[in-house]
Amino acid sequence: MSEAATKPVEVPDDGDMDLVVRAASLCNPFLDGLGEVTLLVRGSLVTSVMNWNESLYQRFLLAALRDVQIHAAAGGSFEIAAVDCRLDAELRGSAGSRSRDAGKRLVSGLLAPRGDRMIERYRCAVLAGDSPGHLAVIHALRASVFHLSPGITAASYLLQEGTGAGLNGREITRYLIAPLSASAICGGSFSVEGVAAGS
Amino acid sequence: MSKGVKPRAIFNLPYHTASVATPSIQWSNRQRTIKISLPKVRRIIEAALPMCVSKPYHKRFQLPSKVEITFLGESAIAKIHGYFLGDPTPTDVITFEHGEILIGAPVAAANARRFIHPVDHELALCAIHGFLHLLGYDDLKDKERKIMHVRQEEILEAALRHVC
Repeated sequence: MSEAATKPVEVPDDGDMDLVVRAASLCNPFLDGLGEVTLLVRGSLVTSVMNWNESLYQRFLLAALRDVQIHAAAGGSFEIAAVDCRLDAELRGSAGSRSRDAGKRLVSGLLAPRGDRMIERYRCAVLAGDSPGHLAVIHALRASVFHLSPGITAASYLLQEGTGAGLNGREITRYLIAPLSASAICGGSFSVEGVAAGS
Repeated sequence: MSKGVKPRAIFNLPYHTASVATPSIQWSNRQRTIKISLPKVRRIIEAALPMCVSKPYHKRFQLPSKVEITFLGESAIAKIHGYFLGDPTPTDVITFEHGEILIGAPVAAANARRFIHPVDHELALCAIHGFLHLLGYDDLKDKERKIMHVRQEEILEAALRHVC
């Protein structure tokens, strides 16, 4: 691996959204063409986001993102496959199939970044149908190659979910990233000025 | 939304029937604790809306084309309050700039009892408060809060005169 490949991406403390966007583009260059993954906005945006957070993101997806990064750092391909299979059992119905489809589209359209052997092996396993290849797993794998922090990995995954659900940049920042991963990225410094509460 | 600030005076606010762009409003009631006369609240808001729109805090502020007003129970509004604003206590109204106004009906009802006026009027006041937020009004600083509260009371009074 070249020196550039091992140099970590600098993660600023202030949670710069540009970095999150860059990270999402690095992990998924097909971001613009991404359709709905597991977040579906039907009716109230607030309710949709909260329900998705409770039922899928906090329960399954966030754990998968974290576990894959931990196992990728330790070089544990089997463990990553186990996380992928676990997520496959947890994400039921159409959410599961959309997540698998998005992950497969990502691995089939790309070579492993920087010729990373673990990703290449995993890519072959997904394309051969030996592993489900959920988007969260592929995303976290690619994020680990680029040495992205868990916070930036989670935020850039949220950006993908939000983009797929048709949210604009402000909505993604304010309703997805700020409340869900502010503490992980920047200690809560993301602004939520778009939300006003009575007191 | 506190009602600690008394309006200076209720002027004869003109009822604007002019062609100002008002959004389509979608109402929903997702709580059963407080009995709400939705047609009555809707009539008040229909009268209030042109007045809200006629005087945004700044001309660059416009209402979204569609606004959802949802009445929630105490635990639901507390959950949303905690999730988006880091304060998991029930509140009377939360406004999201994309056009969602969530009203904690039990808290609004408690405020109505406190200020001795009908629950429907308080619910309408919460909705007006939400519209004013969408139009750029804010209540974080004292001075801004006073301006906003005077404005919302004026609008409610004028709307009630129009409806009743």
